[in-house]
Amino acid sequence: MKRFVNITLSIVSLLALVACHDVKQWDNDPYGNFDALWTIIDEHYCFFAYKDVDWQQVGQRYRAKLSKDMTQQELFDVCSHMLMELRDGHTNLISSTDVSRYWIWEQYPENFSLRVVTENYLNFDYKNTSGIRYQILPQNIGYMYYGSFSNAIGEGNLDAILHYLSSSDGLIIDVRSNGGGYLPHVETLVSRFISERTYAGAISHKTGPGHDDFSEPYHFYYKPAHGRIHYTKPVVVLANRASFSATNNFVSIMKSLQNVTVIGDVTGGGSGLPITNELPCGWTVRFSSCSITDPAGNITEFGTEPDIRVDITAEDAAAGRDTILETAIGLLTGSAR
Amino acid sequence: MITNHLRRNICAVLAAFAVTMAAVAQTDADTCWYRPVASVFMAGVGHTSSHDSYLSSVSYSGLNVGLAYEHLQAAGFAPRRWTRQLSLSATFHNQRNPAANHKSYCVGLGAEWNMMHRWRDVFAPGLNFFAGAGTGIDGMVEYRPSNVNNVVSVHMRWDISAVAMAVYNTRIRRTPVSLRYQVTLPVIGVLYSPQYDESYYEMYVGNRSGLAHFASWGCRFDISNAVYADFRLGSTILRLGYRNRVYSSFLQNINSRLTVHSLVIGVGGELLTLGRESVTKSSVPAIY
Repeated sequence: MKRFVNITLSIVSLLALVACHDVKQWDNDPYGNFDALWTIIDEHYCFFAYKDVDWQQVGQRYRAKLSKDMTQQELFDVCSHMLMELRDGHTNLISSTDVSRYWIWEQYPENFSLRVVTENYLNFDYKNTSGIRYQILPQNIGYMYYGSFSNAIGEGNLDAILHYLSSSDGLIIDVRSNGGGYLPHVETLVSRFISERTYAGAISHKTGPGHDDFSEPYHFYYKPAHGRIHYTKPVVVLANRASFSATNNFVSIMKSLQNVTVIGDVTGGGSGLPITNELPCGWTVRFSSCSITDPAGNITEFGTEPDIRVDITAEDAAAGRDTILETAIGLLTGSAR
Repeated sequence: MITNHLRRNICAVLAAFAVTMAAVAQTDADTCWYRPVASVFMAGVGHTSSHDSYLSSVSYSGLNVGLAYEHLQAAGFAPRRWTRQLSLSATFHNQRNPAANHKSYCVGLGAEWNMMHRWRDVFAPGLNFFAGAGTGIDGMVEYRPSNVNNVVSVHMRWDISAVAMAVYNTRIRRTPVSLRYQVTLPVIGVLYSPQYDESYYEMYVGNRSGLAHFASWGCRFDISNAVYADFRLGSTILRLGYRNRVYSSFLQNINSRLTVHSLVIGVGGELLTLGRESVTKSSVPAIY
């Protein structure tokens, strides 16, 4: 009997130890929600070191602004301002009434007007598939505008676009004000402009809650689209500050290709891969948790520099001209302004 | 990728399992037996709560519904002493966060095969005990529409489990009723888990290393309990019961919990395939 009791106690003790790890829980009050947000960012955000952010100090500073009887909007404002310290366009706090954001590109020159391009360069005469507007300009330069990497690009549609543009002497890919979308669509598009396996960058994720807990960078490559139509003539990519996230990724990879020139403004950056979490009150927080470097090994969180920096001039804007597009046409036709 | 260490552990466990089964498998070769199959289809509904830190820092709870099939039969090699059990299940969870503004959907499929030794009329007439081991696989995909990049969490496992069952055969009025309790406790196995904040995009671009992990009680605890009352109306079985599952794992710094309670109703029968031979046989019911 004593042996039976010992065995039973041993088993119970063993079961008590197994897979035992507390689930953190926070109260649904201003302090609980603030602490939940601070902890989520503390344990998962990937750019503390790169941006030299002292998150502990930031948390103390903003926690001092809390009070038990503050309103939801006041709490939202405190939390939003704390997240601004990360200077990250991928970081948003989402409530039922507002979305906090660090969209710094809104403060820079827009450097793009779809209306101007459509009216003065395409004459309202363009084809449109997979979210891509395309046409051959009078200078025999192909032009395609891709407004969002959230729009899926069909391989057949891309074949049709590139077949149509194949007689042009060069191609302009306009991704200005493209706020990003799905990274696999970047590969779909890039794979039409490469002829061999091409280094596309490295990705590293958090492996634990510590600020330095990162995986070894995984180097990844894009393959040319097998059996599909490719474009091998000179290419110009147009970018502005609102070219963000997946678009920043696209621009940085295209920039690394030999026959590609990037013209326009610095992109908006956003090289972190965002994930989502939530607070006890139901607010959602989105933030970067994986860092992706460009083919040159740079973290492009704050943007990718163009090869040729151009802004739309005030006089061109007034005259309905797109300085950046004109520069691209000039480069491709060999008559750069 | 499965590491050499993991591979060695799995091989050792399989070998031990095979040796154990061979050692205890004493055949009743000198006797012929009918071995009716107790086959029951079940539907369940209940409450579930879960926590998966890969998806969220808050726990979700809600409704679960499920379908299951159970097949019990005395083992061919020793029908009076061994019983085998096959279970298949499909589950669906529809959960909400505490603020009730986000939803989560979860679909799971599972299969288990168990072999149990039978001890008849233990302590009291009609009280049978069963104990043994089994193996099972299951997969579960949880989908959070409000998330980006960590929009799904995939749970897959293969386990070797300890299984025990008690069955008490009695009558309510004149109807034979079998009251049954079964517990299944996975001991070791293999679990699929991404790393802490590893994205599925990273796997998509080719980094699929380190996704399979050796699972033991040190990183995963999983127990399933079932209480059934089987009313045997002729050869038909009407089942009423309750099932629960408590799952907890801490792997790659990812904290997962799952608790499922469900009420079960089932219908089935004891089925017998008669051969053409004229040899007189005795019948060995699977568990009753």
